[in-house]
Amino acid sequence: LGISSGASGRGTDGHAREVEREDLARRAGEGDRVAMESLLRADYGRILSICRRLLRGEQDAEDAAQNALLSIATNITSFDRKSRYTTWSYRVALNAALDEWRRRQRRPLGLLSGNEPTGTVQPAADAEVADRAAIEWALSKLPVEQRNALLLRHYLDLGYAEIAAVERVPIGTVRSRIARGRLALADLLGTAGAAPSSNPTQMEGQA
Amino acid sequence: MTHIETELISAWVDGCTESRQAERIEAHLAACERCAQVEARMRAVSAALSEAGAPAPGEAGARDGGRVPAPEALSRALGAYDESARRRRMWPGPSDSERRRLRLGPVAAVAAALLLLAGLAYGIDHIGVSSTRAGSAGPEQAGTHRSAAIKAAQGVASRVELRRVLGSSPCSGVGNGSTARIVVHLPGRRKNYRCFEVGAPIASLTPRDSARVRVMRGARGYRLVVRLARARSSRPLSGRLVATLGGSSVGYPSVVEGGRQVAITRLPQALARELRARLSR
Repeated sequence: LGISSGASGRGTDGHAREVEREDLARRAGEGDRVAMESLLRADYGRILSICRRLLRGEQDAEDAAQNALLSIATNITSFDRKSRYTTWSYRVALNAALDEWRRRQRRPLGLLSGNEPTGTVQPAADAEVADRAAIEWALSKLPVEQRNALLLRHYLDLGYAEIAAVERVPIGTVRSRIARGRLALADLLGTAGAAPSSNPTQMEGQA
Repeated sequence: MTHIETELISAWVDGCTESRQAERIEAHLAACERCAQVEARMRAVSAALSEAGAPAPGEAGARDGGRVPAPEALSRALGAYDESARRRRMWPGPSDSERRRLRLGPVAAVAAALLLLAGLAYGIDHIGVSSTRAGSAGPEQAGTHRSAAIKAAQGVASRVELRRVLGSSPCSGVGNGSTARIVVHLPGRRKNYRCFEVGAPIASLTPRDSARVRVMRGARGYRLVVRLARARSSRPLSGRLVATLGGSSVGYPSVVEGGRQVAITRLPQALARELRARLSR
Protein backbone atom coordinates (compact mmCIF):
# COMPACT_ATOMS: atom_id res chain seq x y z
CA LEU A 1 0.00 0.00 0.00
CA GLY A 2 1.65 3.16 -1.06
CA ILE A 3 0.96 6.67 -2.00
CA SER A 4 0.95 7.27 -5.67
CA SER A 5 1.76 10.52 -7.29
CA GLY A 6 -1.59 11.89 -6.15
CA ALA A 7 -1.35 14.48 -3.46
CA SER A 8 1.90 16.14 -4.21
CA GLY A 9 3.02 14.92 -7.58
CA ARG A 10 -0.06 16.44 -9.19
CA GLY A 11 0.00 13.68 -11.73
CA THR A 12 3.22 14.89 -13.27
CA ASP A 13 5.28 11.88 -12.41
CA GLY A 14 4.37 8.66 -14.02
CA HIS A 15 4.72 5.08 -13.10
CA ALA A 16 8.25 4.87 -14.43
CA ARG A 17 9.48 7.62 -12.15
CA GLU A 18 7.74 5.97 -9.26
CA VAL A 19 9.49 2.70 -9.94
CA GLU A 20 12.80 4.44 -10.37
CA ARG A 21 12.39 6.22 -7.06
CA GLU A 22 11.67 3.00 -5.21
CA ASP A 23 14.68 1.40 -6.84
CA LEU A 24 16.95 4.29 -5.92
CA ALA A 25 15.66 4.13 -2.36
CA ARG A 26 16.40 0.43 -2.15
CA ARG A 27 19.91 0.90 -3.42
CA ALA A 28 20.52 3.89 -1.18
CA GLY A 29 19.33 1.81 1.75
CA GLU A 30 21.92 -0.80 0.85
CA GLY A 31 24.66 1.77 0.98
CA ASP A 32 24.82 2.99 -2.59
CA ARG A 33 25.86 6.57 -2.28
CA VAL A 34 25.37 7.39 -5.93
CA ALA A 35 21.79 6.17 -5.70
CA MET A 36 21.31 8.22 -2.55
CA GLU A 37 22.39 11.36 -4.30
CA SER A 38 20.21 10.69 -7.34
CA LEU A 39 17.26 10.06 -5.09
CA LEU A 40 17.75 13.27 -3.15
CA ARG A 41 18.01 15.23 -6.37
CA ALA A 42 15.05 13.54 -8.00
CA ASP A 43 12.78 13.68 -5.00
CA TYR A 44 13.41 17.16 -3.71
CA GLY A 45 10.60 18.69 -5.74
CA ARG A 46 8.05 16.27 -4.33
CA ILE A 47 9.25 16.80 -0.77
CA LEU A 48 9.23 20.55 -1.25
CA SER A 49 5.68 20.59 -2.50
CA ILE A 50 4.57 18.54 0.50
CA CYS A 51 6.24 21.05 2.80
CA ARG A 52 4.79 23.93 0.87
CA ARG A 53 1.30 22.61 1.46
CA LEU A 54 1.95 22.58 5.17
CA LEU A 55 3.89 25.81 5.52
CA ARG A 56 2.99 29.02 3.82
CA GLY A 57 6.30 30.81 3.91
CA GLU A 58 8.54 30.01 0.97
CA GLN A 59 11.61 30.05 3.16
CA ASP A 60 9.97 27.91 5.82
CA ALA A 61 8.96 25.34 3.22
CA GLU A 62 12.45 25.19 1.79
CA ASP A 63 14.03 24.89 5.22
CA ALA A 64 11.66 22.07 6.05
CA ALA A 65 12.31 20.32 2.73
CA GLN A 66 16.05 20.53 3.31
CA ASN A 67 15.66 19.12 6.79
CA ALA A 68 13.53 16.35 5.33
CA LEU A 69 16.36 15.50 2.93
CA LEU A 70 18.75 15.39 5.83
CA SER A 71 16.42 13.09 7.69
CA ILE A 72 15.95 10.82 4.67
CA ALA A 73 19.70 10.58 4.16
CA THR A 74 20.28 9.85 7.83
CA ASN A 75 17.61 7.20 8.16
CA ILE A 76 17.38 5.47 4.81
CA THR A 77 19.73 2.69 5.82
CA SER A 78 17.55 1.85 8.80
CA PHE A 79 14.29 2.23 6.91
CA ASP A 80 12.68 -1.19 7.25
CA ARG A 81 10.99 -1.16 3.84
CA LYS A 82 7.70 -2.36 5.29
CA SER A 83 6.12 0.42 3.32
CA ARG A 84 7.12 2.01 0.10
CA TYR A 85 9.67 4.76 0.08
CA THR A 86 7.14 7.33 -1.08
CA THR A 87 4.94 6.51 1.88
CA TRP A 88 7.77 6.59 4.34
CA SER A 89 9.14 9.85 3.00
CA TYR A 90 5.71 11.42 3.35
CA ARG A 91 5.97 10.96 7.04
CA VAL A 92 9.50 12.27 7.09
CA ALA A 93 8.40 15.38 5.21
CA LEU A 94 5.42 15.82 7.48
CA ASN A 95 7.62 15.65 10.56
CA ALA A 96 10.13 18.08 9.11
CA ALA A 97 7.34 20.51 8.28
CA LEU A 98 5.85 20.18 11.75
CA ASP A 99 9.23 20.87 13.33
CA GLU A 100 9.54 23.97 11.22
CA TRP A 101 6.04 24.92 12.17
CA ARG A 102 6.87 24.67 15.86
CA ARG A 103 10.00 26.71 15.41
CA ARG A 104 8.03 29.36 13.59
CA GLN A 105 5.42 29.49 16.33
CA ARG A 106 8.10 30.09 18.89
CA ARG A 107 9.45 32.99 16.93
CA PRO A 108 8.56 36.34 18.47
CA LEU A 109 5.72 38.09 16.74
CA GLY A 110 7.78 41.13 15.95
CA LEU A 111 10.03 39.09 13.72
CA LEU A 112 7.09 37.55 11.93
CA SER A 113 5.34 40.80 11.18
CA GLY A 114 8.54 42.21 9.77
CA ASN A 115 8.70 39.41 7.23
CA GLU A 116 5.03 39.07 6.51
CA PRO A 117 4.45 40.04 2.91
CA THR A 118 0.66 39.97 3.25
CA GLY A 119 0.58 42.90 5.63
CA THR A 120 -0.78 45.43 3.19
CA VAL A 121 -2.81 43.28 0.83
CA GLN A 122 -6.59 43.43 0.49
CA PRO A 123 -8.77 42.63 3.48
CA ALA A 124 -9.94 39.42 1.84
CA ALA A 125 -6.44 38.02 1.89
CA ASP A 126 -6.02 39.17 5.47
CA ALA A 127 -9.17 37.36 6.46
CA GLU A 128 -7.88 34.19 4.85
CA VAL A 129 -4.59 34.50 6.66
CA ALA A 130 -6.47 35.04 9.89
CA ASP A 131 -8.66 31.98 9.27
CA ARG A 132 -5.68 29.84 8.58
CA ALA A 133 -3.92 31.17 11.64
CA ALA A 134 -6.93 30.34 13.79
CA ILE A 135 -7.18 26.84 12.37
CA GLU A 136 -3.51 26.22 12.89
CA TRP A 137 -3.64 27.54 16.41
CA ALA A 138 -6.46 25.09 17.08
CA LEU A 139 -4.56 22.27 15.36
CA SER A 140 -1.58 22.93 17.57
CA LYS A 141 -3.77 22.23 20.61
CA LEU A 142 -4.74 18.76 19.41
CA PRO A 143 -3.02 15.53 20.38
CA VAL A 144 -0.32 14.88 17.83
CA GLU A 145 -1.99 11.81 16.26
CA GLN A 146 -5.19 13.69 15.61
CA ARG A 147 -3.37 16.68 14.25
CA ASN A 148 -1.25 14.57 11.92
CA ALA A 149 -4.30 12.74 10.63
CA LEU A 150 -6.10 15.99 9.93
CA LEU A 151 -3.10 17.56 8.23
CA LEU A 152 -2.59 14.52 6.05
CA ARG A 153 -6.26 14.50 5.18
CA HIS A 154 -6.88 18.19 4.55
CA TYR A 155 -3.54 19.75 3.79
CA LEU A 156 -2.10 16.90 1.79
CA ASP A 157 -5.34 15.44 0.46
CA LEU A 158 -4.54 11.87 1.39
CA GLY A 159 -7.25 9.23 1.61
CA TYR A 160 -7.85 7.17 4.74
CA ALA A 161 -5.94 4.18 3.42
CA GLU A 162 -2.97 6.35 2.56
CA ILE A 163 -2.98 8.01 5.95
CA ALA A 164 -3.11 4.57 7.53
CA ALA A 165 -0.03 3.59 5.54
CA VAL A 166 1.86 6.74 6.45
CA GLU A 167 1.01 6.53 10.13
CA ARG A 168 1.27 2.75 10.20
CA VAL A 169 -2.03 2.24 11.97
CA PRO A 170 -5.25 0.46 10.94
CA ILE A 171 -7.81 2.41 8.94
CA GLY A 172 -10.25 2.30 11.85
CA THR A 173 -7.74 4.21 13.95
CA VAL A 174 -7.38 6.83 11.24
CA ARG A 175 -11.13 7.22 11.11
CA SER A 176 -11.32 7.66 14.84
CA ARG A 177 -8.47 10.16 14.97
CA ILE A 178 -9.99 12.26 12.25
CA ALA A 179 -13.44 12.26 13.83
CA ARG A 180 -12.12 13.11 17.28
CA GLY A 181 -9.81 15.73 15.89
CA ARG A 182 -12.64 17.38 14.04
CA LEU A 183 -14.87 17.49 17.07
CA ALA A 184 -12.11 18.93 19.21
CA LEU A 185 -11.35 21.49 16.55
CA ALA A 186 -15.00 22.48 16.32
CA ASP A 187 -15.00 23.09 20.05
CA LEU A 188 -11.82 25.11 19.94
CA LEU A 189 -12.99 27.24 17.07
CA GLY A 190 -16.64 27.48 17.98
CA THR A 191 -17.48 26.48 14.43
CA ALA A 192 -20.38 24.46 15.59
CA GLY A 193 -22.24 24.59 12.31
CA ALA A 194 -25.87 23.80 12.77
CA ALA A 195 -25.40 22.55 16.29
CA PRO A 196 -24.20 25.46 18.37
CA SER A 197 -24.52 24.01 21.83
CA SER A 198 -25.42 20.37 21.51
CA ASN A 199 -22.84 18.43 23.40
CA PRO A 200 -20.46 16.60 21.10
CA THR A 201 -18.83 14.56 23.83
CA GLN A 202 -22.01 12.54 24.16
CA MET A 203 -21.59 11.41 20.59
CA GLU A 204 -17.95 10.69 21.05
CA GLY A 205 -18.81 8.22 23.71
CA GLN A 206 -20.26 5.92 21.11
CA ALA A 207 -17.03 5.58 19.19
CA MET B 1 -33.56 4.52 16.57
CA THR B 2 -29.86 3.56 16.70
CA HIS B 3 -27.69 6.57 15.95
CA ILE B 4 -24.76 6.46 13.61
CA GLU B 5 -21.32 6.53 15.19
CA THR B 6 -19.58 9.87 15.01
CA GLU B 7 -16.62 8.22 13.34
CA LEU B 8 -18.76 6.84 10.59
CA ILE B 9 -20.39 10.19 9.96
CA SER B 10 -16.98 11.79 9.80
CA ALA B 11 -15.76 9.18 7.33
CA TRP B 12 -18.94 9.52 5.34
CA VAL B 13 -18.31 13.26 4.98
CA ASP B 14 -15.01 12.32 3.37
CA GLY B 15 -16.65 9.76 1.13
CA CYS B 16 -14.60 7.09 2.87
CA THR B 17 -17.23 4.54 3.76
CA GLU B 18 -18.28 1.39 1.96
CA SER B 19 -21.18 1.92 -0.37
CA ARG B 20 -23.48 -0.31 1.66
CA GLN B 21 -22.73 1.69 4.79
CA ALA B 22 -23.06 4.93 2.91
CA GLU B 23 -26.62 4.09 1.94
CA ARG B 24 -27.54 3.28 5.49
CA ILE B 25 -25.92 6.46 6.81
CA GLU B 26 -27.60 8.59 4.21
CA ALA B 27 -31.00 7.17 5.03
CA HIS B 28 -30.43 7.67 8.72
CA LEU B 29 -29.25 11.25 8.38
CA ALA B 30 -32.35 12.12 6.44
CA ALA B 31 -34.48 10.92 9.31
CA CYS B 32 -32.44 11.80 12.41
CA GLU B 33 -31.92 15.41 13.38
CA ARG B 34 -29.34 14.67 16.03
CA CYS B 35 -27.06 12.82 13.58
CA ALA B 36 -27.70 15.44 10.92
CA GLN B 37 -26.35 18.03 13.34
CA VAL B 38 -23.22 16.01 13.83
CA GLU B 39 -22.87 15.78 10.10
CA ALA B 40 -23.22 19.55 9.72
CA ARG B 41 -20.60 20.05 12.36
CA MET B 42 -18.21 17.66 10.63
CA ARG B 43 -18.77 19.33 7.31
CA ALA B 44 -18.14 22.79 8.72
CA VAL B 45 -14.83 21.82 10.31
CA SER B 46 -13.85 19.77 7.32
CA ALA B 47 -14.51 22.66 4.94
CA ALA B 48 -12.58 25.10 7.12
CA LEU B 49 -9.63 22.71 7.27
CA SER B 50 -9.61 22.06 3.56
CA GLU B 51 -9.79 25.76 2.85
CA ALA B 52 -6.89 26.45 5.17
CA GLY B 53 -4.91 23.65 3.58
CA ALA B 54 -5.64 24.54 -0.01
CA PRO B 55 -2.65 25.75 -1.97
CA ALA B 56 -2.45 29.52 -2.09
CA PRO B 57 -3.61 31.04 -5.37
CA GLY B 58 -0.83 31.03 -7.91
CA GLU B 59 1.01 28.36 -5.99
CA ALA B 60 1.55 25.69 -8.55
CA GLY B 61 2.53 22.40 -6.99
CA ALA B 62 3.74 21.15 -10.34
CA ARG B 63 6.28 23.94 -10.38
CA ASP B 64 8.20 22.16 -7.66
CA GLY B 65 8.51 19.01 -9.70
CA GLY B 66 11.80 19.89 -11.31
CA ARG B 67 13.27 21.69 -8.33
CA VAL B 68 16.61 20.45 -7.14
CA PRO B 69 18.07 20.92 -3.70
CA ALA B 70 20.59 23.68 -3.08
CA PRO B 71 24.13 22.33 -3.30
CA GLU B 72 24.77 23.02 0.40
CA ALA B 73 21.61 21.17 1.37
CA LEU B 74 22.55 18.24 -0.81
CA SER B 75 26.06 17.97 0.52
CA ARG B 76 24.80 18.32 4.08
CA ALA B 77 22.39 15.45 3.48
CA LEU B 78 25.07 13.30 1.86
CA GLY B 79 27.37 14.07 4.76
CA ALA B 80 24.70 12.77 7.09
CA TYR B 81 24.30 9.70 4.90
CA ASP B 82 28.01 8.99 5.09
CA GLU B 83 27.96 9.52 8.81
CA SER B 84 25.12 7.11 9.34
CA ALA B 85 26.72 4.56 7.03
CA ARG B 86 29.90 4.90 9.01
CA ARG B 87 28.11 4.29 12.27
CA ARG B 88 26.58 1.15 10.87
CA ARG B 89 29.88 -0.32 9.91
CA MET B 90 31.24 -3.13 12.01
CA TRP B 91 34.22 -1.07 12.84
CA PRO B 92 33.17 1.46 15.44
CA GLY B 93 34.12 5.01 14.65
CA PRO B 94 35.67 7.51 17.01
CA SER B 95 33.65 8.41 20.07
CA ASP B 96 31.81 11.70 20.16
CA SER B 97 34.48 13.47 22.13
CA GLU B 98 37.14 12.17 19.82
CA ARG B 99 35.13 13.23 16.84
CA ARG B 100 34.76 16.68 18.31
CA ARG B 101 38.45 16.90 18.83
CA LEU B 102 38.99 15.81 15.27
CA ARG B 103 36.68 18.41 13.92
CA LEU B 104 38.34 21.10 15.94
CA GLY B 105 41.82 20.09 15.04
CA PRO B 106 42.54 17.25 12.69
CA VAL B 107 46.04 18.61 12.67
CA ALA B 108 46.45 17.54 16.25
CA ALA B 109 45.98 13.94 15.36
CA VAL B 110 49.13 12.08 14.58
CA ALA B 111 49.10 10.93 11.04
CA ALA B 112 50.39 7.43 10.90
CA ALA B 113 48.49 5.32 8.47
CA LEU B 114 46.85 5.56 5.17
CA LEU B 115 44.10 3.28 4.27
CA LEU B 116 43.00 2.82 0.78
CA LEU B 117 39.63 1.30 1.09
CA ALA B 118 37.59 0.11 -1.74
CA GLY B 119 34.82 -2.35 -2.09
CA LEU B 120 35.25 -4.88 -4.77
CA ALA B 121 33.03 -6.88 -6.97
CA TYR B 122 35.17 -9.89 -6.28
CA GLY B 123 37.24 -11.07 -3.38
CA ILE B 124 35.01 -9.11 -1.12
CA ASP B 125 34.62 -11.70 1.58
CA HIS B 126 38.23 -12.18 2.28
CA ILE B 127 39.02 -8.53 2.07
CA GLY B 128 36.06 -7.40 4.11
CA VAL B 129 36.85 -9.72 6.95
CA SER B 130 40.54 -9.13 7.08
CA SER B 131 40.22 -5.41 6.93
CA THR B 132 37.78 -5.47 9.78
CA ARG B 133 40.44 -7.05 11.84
CA ALA B 134 42.92 -4.53 10.66
CA GLY B 135 40.59 -1.78 11.66
CA SER B 136 40.68 -2.79 15.26
CA ALA B 137 44.40 -3.35 15.27
CA GLY B 138 46.64 -0.79 16.87
CA PRO B 139 48.77 1.53 14.81
CA GLU B 140 51.90 -0.38 15.77
CA GLN B 141 50.74 -3.20 13.52
CA ALA B 142 50.33 -0.87 10.66
CA GLY B 143 52.13 -1.85 7.55
CA THR B 144 52.29 -5.49 8.33
CA HIS B 145 48.83 -6.52 7.44
CA ARG B 146 48.60 -9.21 4.85
CA SER B 147 45.81 -7.66 2.87
CA ALA B 148 47.70 -4.47 2.24
CA ALA B 149 47.31 -5.01 -1.45
CA ILE B 150 47.09 -1.39 -2.35
CA LYS B 151 50.18 0.40 -1.33
CA ALA B 152 50.77 4.02 -0.86
CA ALA B 153 53.83 4.66 -2.91
CA GLN B 154 54.71 7.76 -1.04
CA GLY B 155 54.31 9.06 2.44
CA VAL B 156 53.81 7.52 5.80
CA ALA B 157 50.90 5.44 4.74
CA SER B 158 51.63 2.25 6.47
CA ARG B 159 48.49 0.25 6.00
CA VAL B 160 46.44 0.23 2.92
CA GLU B 161 43.54 -1.99 2.26
CA LEU B 162 40.59 -2.75 0.16
CA ARG B 163 37.37 -2.94 1.92
CA ARG B 164 33.78 -2.57 1.15
CA VAL B 165 32.78 0.35 3.28
CA LEU B 166 29.13 1.07 2.91
CA GLY B 167 26.22 -1.11 3.79
CA SER B 168 25.31 -2.97 6.89
CA SER B 169 27.28 -6.13 6.32
CA PRO B 170 30.75 -6.24 4.87
CA CYS B 171 30.22 -9.22 2.65
CA SER B 172 27.16 -8.75 0.55
CA GLY B 173 25.39 -6.52 -1.84
CA VAL B 174 28.28 -4.84 -3.53
CA GLY B 175 27.38 -3.77 -6.99
CA ASN B 176 28.80 -1.69 -9.73
CA GLY B 177 28.13 1.93 -9.17
CA SER B 178 28.33 1.64 -5.42
CA THR B 179 30.76 3.88 -3.73
CA ALA B 180 33.82 2.79 -1.89
CA ARG B 181 36.32 4.98 -0.20
CA ILE B 182 39.94 5.71 -0.10
CA VAL B 183 40.62 6.61 3.45
CA VAL B 184 43.50 8.49 4.89
CA HIS B 185 43.81 7.18 8.34
CA LEU B 186 45.01 9.39 11.13
CA PRO B 187 45.21 7.46 14.38
CA GLY B 188 45.14 9.28 17.66
CA ARG B 189 46.80 8.20 20.82
CA ARG B 190 44.62 5.22 21.51
CA LYS B 191 42.30 4.76 18.62
CA ASN B 192 42.37 4.84 14.92
CA TYR B 193 40.51 7.56 13.16
CA ARG B 194 39.17 7.34 9.78
CA CYS B 195 39.08 10.95 9.14
CA PHE B 196 39.62 11.65 5.54
CA GLU B 197 37.95 9.85 2.75
CA VAL B 198 37.83 9.88 -0.96
CA GLY B 199 35.04 7.95 -2.57
CA ALA B 200 35.69 5.95 -5.68
CA PRO B 201 33.44 3.67 -7.64
CA ILE B 202 33.60 0.18 -6.36
CA ALA B 203 34.08 -1.64 -9.61
CA SER B 204 37.01 0.51 -10.55
CA LEU B 205 39.54 -0.82 -8.13
CA THR B 206 41.17 -4.18 -7.79
CA PRO B 207 43.22 -5.57 -4.92
CA ARG B 208 46.37 -5.40 -6.95
CA ASP B 209 46.13 -1.72 -7.67
CA SER B 210 48.40 0.58 -5.80
CA ALA B 211 48.13 4.22 -5.07
CA ARG B 212 50.27 7.27 -4.58
CA VAL B 213 48.93 10.02 -2.43
CA ARG B 214 50.13 13.58 -2.61
CA VAL B 215 49.02 16.94 -1.38
CA MET B 216 49.62 19.60 -3.96
CA ARG B 217 49.31 23.30 -3.90
CA GLY B 218 47.87 25.00 -6.92
CA ALA B 219 46.40 28.30 -7.96
CA ARG B 220 43.10 27.40 -6.35
CA GLY B 221 44.51 26.19 -3.08
CA TYR B 222 45.48 22.78 -1.82
CA ARG B 223 44.33 19.53 -3.20
CA LEU B 224 44.80 15.94 -2.38
CA VAL B 225 45.69 13.77 -5.31
CA VAL B 226 45.42 10.04 -5.28
CA ARG B 227 46.98 8.43 -8.28
CA LEU B 228 46.27 4.82 -8.89
CA ALA B 229 48.79 2.57 -10.50
CA ARG B 230 46.54 0.00 -11.99
CA ALA B 231 47.64 -3.56 -11.77
CA ARG B 232 45.70 -4.27 -14.88
CA SER B 233 43.98 -2.04 -17.27
CA SER B 234 40.46 -2.37 -16.08
CA ARG B 235 37.63 0.06 -16.49
CA PRO B 236 38.57 3.67 -16.08
CA LEU B 237 37.55 5.36 -12.88
CA SER B 238 34.32 7.13 -13.10
CA GLY B 239 31.66 8.41 -10.82
CA ARG B 240 31.29 10.93 -8.10
CA LEU B 241 33.92 11.23 -5.46
CA VAL B 242 33.43 12.40 -1.99
CA ALA B 243 35.52 13.66 0.84
CA THR B 244 34.56 13.79 4.44
CA LEU B 245 36.38 14.73 7.58
CA GLY B 246 35.05 13.55 10.91
CA GLY B 247 31.60 13.32 9.44
CA SER B 248 31.43 16.77 7.96
CA SER B 249 32.18 17.44 4.37
CA VAL B 250 35.52 18.83 3.57
CA GLY B 251 37.01 19.97 0.33
CA TYR B 252 35.12 19.51 -2.86
CA PRO B 253 33.98 16.52 -4.86
CA SER B 254 36.85 15.85 -7.05
CA VAL B 255 37.80 15.22 -10.58
CA VAL B 256 38.78 12.04 -12.25
CA GLU B 257 41.78 12.47 -14.41
CA GLY B 258 42.65 9.98 -17.05
CA GLY B 259 40.77 7.29 -15.20
CA ARG B 260 43.58 6.86 -12.74
CA GLN B 261 43.87 9.96 -10.75
CA VAL B 262 41.42 11.46 -8.34
CA ALA B 263 41.73 14.71 -6.55
CA ILE B 264 39.98 16.58 -3.86
CA THR B 265 40.29 20.26 -4.34
CA ARG B 266 40.15 23.17 -1.96
CA LEU B 267 41.29 21.30 1.09
CA PRO B 268 41.23 23.26 4.31
CA GLN B 269 44.69 24.72 4.63
CA ALA B 270 45.47 23.32 8.05
CA LEU B 271 44.54 19.82 7.01
CA ALA B 272 46.45 20.15 3.77
CA ARG B 273 49.59 21.26 5.56
CA GLU B 274 49.33 18.50 8.08
CA LEU B 275 48.86 15.86 5.45
CA ARG B 276 51.64 17.31 3.43
CA ALA B 277 54.04 17.28 6.31
CA ARG B 278 53.22 13.67 7.04
CA LEU B 279 53.39 12.55 3.47
CA SER B 280 56.72 14.15 2.75
CA ARG B 281 58.53 12.38 5.54
